[in-house]
Amino acid sequence: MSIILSILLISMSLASDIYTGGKITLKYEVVKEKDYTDFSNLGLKVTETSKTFAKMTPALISASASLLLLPVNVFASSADKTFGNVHSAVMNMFDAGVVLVIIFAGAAWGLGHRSKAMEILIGVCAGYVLARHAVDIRDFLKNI
Amino acid sequence: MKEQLLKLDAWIINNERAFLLDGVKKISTGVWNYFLEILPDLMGYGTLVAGGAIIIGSMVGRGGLMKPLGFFAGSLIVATVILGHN
Repeated sequence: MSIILSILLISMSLASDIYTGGKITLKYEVVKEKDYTDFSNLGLKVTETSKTFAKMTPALISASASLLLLPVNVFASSADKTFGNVHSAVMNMFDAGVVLVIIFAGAAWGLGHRSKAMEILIGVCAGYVLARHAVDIRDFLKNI
Repeated sequence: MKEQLLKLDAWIINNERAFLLDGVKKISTGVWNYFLEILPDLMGYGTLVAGGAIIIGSMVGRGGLMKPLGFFAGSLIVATVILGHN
């Protein structure tokens, strides 16, 4: 996939090169005060290979950028599914556990511990409501 | 020849310094962006854990209702402020 993409991009850049008549304009921005990259006195020459690399550079940059951007989208889509699955599984467990806790609270009330039973019921209700709204909190934080 | 060598020396040092600073900046920015991406999921799992802690704490009788709620509310405020200022 990436090889086909890079070949396509290289051919597109070469075709645009031919279409504009072979002229390539480069814009430089001088940032430093002193130019340390001036090696004109050292006898370096611009060869055909360096020209070819200069032509291929935009295609290589765009191909590598698309390759770097690809796994992020895959991760984002898979994280949604993972959280939904985990939340549904955990809420199934909570449904069973909350029933058991309410039975325990009823037994404690029947055996005389009224305030303890009400405390247990309040805690179970608060925890269950909080866990049930995890998806809403996550969606709110994603859309913020 | 000596001038050329000094030029090459300064060029190498400048480029290396720029490369190192750029690398640190890139790495820290990438880590922070990854954290911002996974922060809603972290808060969702934290909500599940806080609810479970409240239920189990009320069942066992040790550990209050307010402590997990306080931690969760604090982290929720932090996450909201971090995600809201982007």
